[in-house]
Amino acid sequence: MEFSEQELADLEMLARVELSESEWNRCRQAFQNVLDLAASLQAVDTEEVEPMISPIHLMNVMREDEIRPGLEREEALAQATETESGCFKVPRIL
Amino acid sequence: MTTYEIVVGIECHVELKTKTKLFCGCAAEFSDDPNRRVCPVCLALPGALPVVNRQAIEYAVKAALALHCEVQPFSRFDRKNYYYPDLPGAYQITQMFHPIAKGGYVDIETTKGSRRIRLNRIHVEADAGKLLHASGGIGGAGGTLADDNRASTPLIEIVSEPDLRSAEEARVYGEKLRTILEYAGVSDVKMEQGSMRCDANVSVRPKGDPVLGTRAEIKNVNSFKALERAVNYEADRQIDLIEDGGSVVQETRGWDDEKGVSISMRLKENAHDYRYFPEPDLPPILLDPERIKGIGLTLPEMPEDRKSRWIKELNLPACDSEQIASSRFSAELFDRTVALGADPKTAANWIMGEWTRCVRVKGIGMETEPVKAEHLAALLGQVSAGKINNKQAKEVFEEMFDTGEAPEQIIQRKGMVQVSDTGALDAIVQQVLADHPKSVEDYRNGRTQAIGFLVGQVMKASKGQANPGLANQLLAAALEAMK
Repeated sequence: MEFSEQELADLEMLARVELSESEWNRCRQAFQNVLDLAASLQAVDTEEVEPMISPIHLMNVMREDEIRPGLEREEALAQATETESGCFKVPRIL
Repeated sequence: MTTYEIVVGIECHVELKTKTKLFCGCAAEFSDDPNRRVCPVCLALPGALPVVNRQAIEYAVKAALALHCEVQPFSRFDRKNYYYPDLPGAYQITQMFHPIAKGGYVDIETTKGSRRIRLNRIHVEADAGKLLHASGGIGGAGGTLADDNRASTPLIEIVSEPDLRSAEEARVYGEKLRTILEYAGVSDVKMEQGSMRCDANVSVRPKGDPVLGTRAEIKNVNSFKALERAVNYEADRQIDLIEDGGSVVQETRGWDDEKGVSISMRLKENAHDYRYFPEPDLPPILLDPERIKGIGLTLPEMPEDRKSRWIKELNLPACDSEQIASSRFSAELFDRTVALGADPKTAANWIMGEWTRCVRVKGIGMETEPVKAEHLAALLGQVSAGKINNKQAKEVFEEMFDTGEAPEQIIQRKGMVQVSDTGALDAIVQQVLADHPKSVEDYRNGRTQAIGFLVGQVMKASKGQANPGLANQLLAAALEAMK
C-alpha cells in the first residue's frame, strides 16, 4: 500500500506541525516503512485470535474516591510558555 | 405540500458527583480559582499514570440500571485524539469500543400520550478543562486562557436512539432523564450549572419516509426550554432549506438562546479524524453479576413506581402524583409526611403549592431539605385540629422554610391562635355588619357574594385569627336574621 502525499498532509494538519521539505520526505519514507511492515503482518491468519490490547493481564485496577494533594498552581504553570490570571495562555481560539 | 417529520436523538453528558476526578485524586468539585485542582495525571504530564475511580464506575452502573440498560461484564477505555487547548493530553479518555452499558430506555409522557425512547449506550469519559477569554475580551487580540480544574472530572454520556419525534418530546425526555438520575443520586443534574449538558441531533424527513435525513448537531443548550426551542428552530431551518431546493449539511451548530438562533460551528474538513485506539494505561473493567445486582439494590424506589403506588394506595390524582414524583426531594418529603399521619391530598397540595413556591422564590436547593417532613406533618396537624387557619399556616410555613424551626415554636412565638369561640367572634361579626351597611344591603338584595368581603373584614378585625369557616357561618346566620 502506498502512503500518499494527501495522507501525510492530513496527518500534518491533525498533528499541528509544519514539515520542512526534507522532513516531509523523511516522514513520508518512515510512514511508508511502517505501512510495509504492517502489510507483511497482514499475511498471517488471525481469524480466531482475539486482539491483544496489552501484554500485561491486569484487570479492575481502581482507587478509592479519596482526595489527594496535587500540584500547587505555580508548579502546574511552571512550564507554560505564557500565563495570565492563574491560567495557561494560548493563542486566541474562542 | 410535503408534511415533514422531525427526528431527534439526544446525547447527554452528566457529571458524576464523586469527590475526586476520574483518574486522579484531585477534588472534582467546582472551583472558580483556576488551576488549583490539578496534578500530573489530569494535566497529562509525561509519565503520569491514570487509575480509575471506583466510585465513578459504581455511579455509572447505578445510572445504567436506573435507565434499564444492560451493564456490560467487560468494558474498557479508549483514547479519542484531537487538539484543543481545553484538553491537556490532546486526547480524551472515553469508551468507544466497549462502553459500560448498552441498550436501555426512558418512558416519556407528553400531550400526545406516552412513548418509550430507546437508549443506544452509556459510556464513561473524562471531561475537558474550561476556556476563558484573556484580557482584551472577545474579539480582542487577548488570547485564550485554559483552566484545568474541570479537566478529567468524571462524566457519563447517555446516547439515545433517534426515537424522538418532536421538540416537546426532546424537552420531556431531558426532564425525565434528569428526574431518573436525580433519584439514582449519581449527579447534581443541573443544566444551568453545566452538570448536565444535552446535545441534540436533529433531522427532518417527509412523513412516512423510512430513511433518516442529514442531521445537524445542536450544542450549547443550557435549559430544557432552550432545548425545545433549539429543536423547533433547527427543524424549521432545515424544512425551509429543503423547500427552497437546498439540502442540509451535516454540521455542528451552537444555540444562542438570547437571539433564538443557532450558528454554524463548522470546522475544516477531516478535522474530526479522532484516531481512536485502546487506552494502554488503563486495564479493563470486569463486573460480575453479583456486584451489578448489589449496586442495583442501592437504588431508591423510582418515580414510575412511586407514582403508581400513590395513585393506587393513596388515591392521589395522577397529575399530582406526576408532579410530586418529578423530583426525588418532593417525593421523599411527601412519603415521609404521609407516613407521619398527614392526609395525602392535603400534603400533596402543600408540597405542590407553598413548598414549590418557596423553593422557587427563595432559590433554595431542594436537596438542602429546607422543610423537614416532621415539621410539615405537625403543621398540617395544627390546621386539621383547628388550632390555626390556613392563612396562618402559610405564614408559619414560610417561617419554617426560612428558619428550620418547628411549627409549634413559631405559632407560640407569634402568639397565633385561631378564634373558634362563638361568643368572641359574634362580637366582631356584629361590629363588621354595623361598619359595612352597603355590603349588608347588597346581600339583602340578593348579591350573596358580598359575604366573601364581610368574611375578609372579620379576618382583618381579628388580625387573621378567626376561624374563617365559623366566621362565614356566623355572618350568614346574622344576615339571614336581618332579612
